[in-house]
Amino acid sequence: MAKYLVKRVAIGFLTVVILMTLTFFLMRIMPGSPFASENPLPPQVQAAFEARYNLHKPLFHQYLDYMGNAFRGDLGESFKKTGVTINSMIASGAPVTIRVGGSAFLFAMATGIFLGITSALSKSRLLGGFVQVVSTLGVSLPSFIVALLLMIVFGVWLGWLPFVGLATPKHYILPAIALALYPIAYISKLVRSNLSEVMRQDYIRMAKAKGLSKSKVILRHALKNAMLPVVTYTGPLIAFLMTGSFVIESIFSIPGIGMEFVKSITNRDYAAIMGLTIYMGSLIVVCNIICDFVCALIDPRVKLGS
Amino acid sequence: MTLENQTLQHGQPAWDSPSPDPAKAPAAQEGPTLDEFRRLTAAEQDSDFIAMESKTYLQDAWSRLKRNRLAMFGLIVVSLIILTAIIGPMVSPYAYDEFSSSKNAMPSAQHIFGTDKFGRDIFTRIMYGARISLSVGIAAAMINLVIGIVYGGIAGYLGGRVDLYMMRVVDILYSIPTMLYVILIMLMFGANIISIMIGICVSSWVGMARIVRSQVMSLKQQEFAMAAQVMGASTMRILVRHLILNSMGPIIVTVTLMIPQAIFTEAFLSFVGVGISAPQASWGTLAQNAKQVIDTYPVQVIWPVAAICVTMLSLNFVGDGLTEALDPKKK
Repeated sequence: MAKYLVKRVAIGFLTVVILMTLTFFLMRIMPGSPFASENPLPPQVQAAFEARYNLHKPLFHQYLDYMGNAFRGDLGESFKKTGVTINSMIASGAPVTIRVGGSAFLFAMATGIFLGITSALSKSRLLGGFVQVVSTLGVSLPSFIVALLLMIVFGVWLGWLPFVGLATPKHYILPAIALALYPIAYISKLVRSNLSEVMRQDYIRMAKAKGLSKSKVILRHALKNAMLPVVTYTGPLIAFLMTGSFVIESIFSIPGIGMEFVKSITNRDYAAIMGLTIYMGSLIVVCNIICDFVCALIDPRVKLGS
Repeated sequence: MTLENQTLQHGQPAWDSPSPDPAKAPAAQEGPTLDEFRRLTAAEQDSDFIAMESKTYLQDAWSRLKRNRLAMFGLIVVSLIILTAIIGPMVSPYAYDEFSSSKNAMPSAQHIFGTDKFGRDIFTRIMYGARISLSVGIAAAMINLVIGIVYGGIAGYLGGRVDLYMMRVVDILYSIPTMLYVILIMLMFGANIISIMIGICVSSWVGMARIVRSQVMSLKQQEFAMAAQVMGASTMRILVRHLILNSMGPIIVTVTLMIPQAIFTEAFLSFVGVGISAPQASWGTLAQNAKQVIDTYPVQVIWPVAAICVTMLSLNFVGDGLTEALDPKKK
């Protein structure tokens, strides 16, 4: 177990280092200086800027400095907003993103699992058809298209729900649905196919033969085994919600990390793009490691270290 | 005992060609006693004759696909969209970047989808956007196909240490969310259609490589691969003719599903603002532009959104249909 964990963490660490290196060099070989504008800066100002942002040193030195600082938790300062550090951007954006992403996560899990279970256990063709339609739509429609559709129908035409900002709990509904539709489709499909597979196993027949009640058979024997792939999926789900937040937050004007990222792209704020990429990339890598580890813990069939 | 039941197994090559002499046809079933063997009567002479023409794998798959209504519907819609994308801008009375005085017009006989804030005809822009979105999708899928087959094929066939290292690279690329580095690549190469393709390809060949690798790994242990090796076929020939061609089913399905994925990535990038630059427009850019006036002219959002929805759904229907058609065992 410990060996597996060490190996997994080492690979994760390597991934983060590669991501950081890639981001750093991609950003530095980018054509044009980050301070380029219509009016060329006086040379002294240019030099002062370069000294401030550590750009006067040789490239490799800059790289080492950057990596060192990043590992100490300092992602540097924004190129465009003077005095604003990337860390403060994350500190102000992360809670918002977590709230929106978290509600989408809970909504996706609850609805996806519920739809999956009911459609696997019920013989109703209507319900089966409904789940089929939801999963086809969810899998094939991009989240920003869903967001625009929801916005037009429920925000503009019907006027039921607000769609700008995050002032009240009501404001969470549309972004959460838009973010959650794809995961709902995926999870319900996953649960459905796994649960119907598990229900055919011998130990389920055994449990039934013992005379357990139907709810006990399903809750204690079938669901526990059918849920494993859902646990495995939480890692990719978190990554999905994070990249999904780019568009969802800009569409619904939510001041989270995703919107900050998109803004820094339009402003060509390279320091912010780098810092946020590294932050999100490492977060996703960490989530994946935790997710794999939890899976290995709860499922004895997953072989460790192989 | 007759061979009637075997006439049903037309899919098996061994029974495909009608035997010239039915009397000599082997009795494959086990267990018949000796007195069950007798000459066929005149009426039974034709009982092992196979009326159905023998079909190749692709013909067989096509006939299965034709029976899938949803997939055929998707195929027709996709063909119509492609036709419109090719012909539409040529016959349209407006150019995609032609300004006019009627700004933000509602749909009318002159402009069936209305006009945008510069008075440009939205229908023409949608058709023009289809060119960009579809060509990005198809080109990216094709490039992925080549990279994925070469990389996955080599890793899967050579196996061992080479495979281990090649797949480590894939794992690392896989664990970084693609959107992050597609955006970085777009920023580096600038906003144009070529860099979008590069960005999409760099990020999504990984999936194809994994599929090809797993196919090749399982196929190379089968007897026909060994037979080819014993007969002295070169590595290249075994890999291409025997292993890759036999994994064509999953590969075709992945390519079909990669096209909507690439269209989505392109729309996403354009929507975020690093995609196609003005005055050119893909569906993503159109959606982004329309979103800015959603409060005042919500109709404008409908067109690009509908175009993306219809295309994505149709391509997914075709992809699902192909999955079933190309791999009948899976169902």
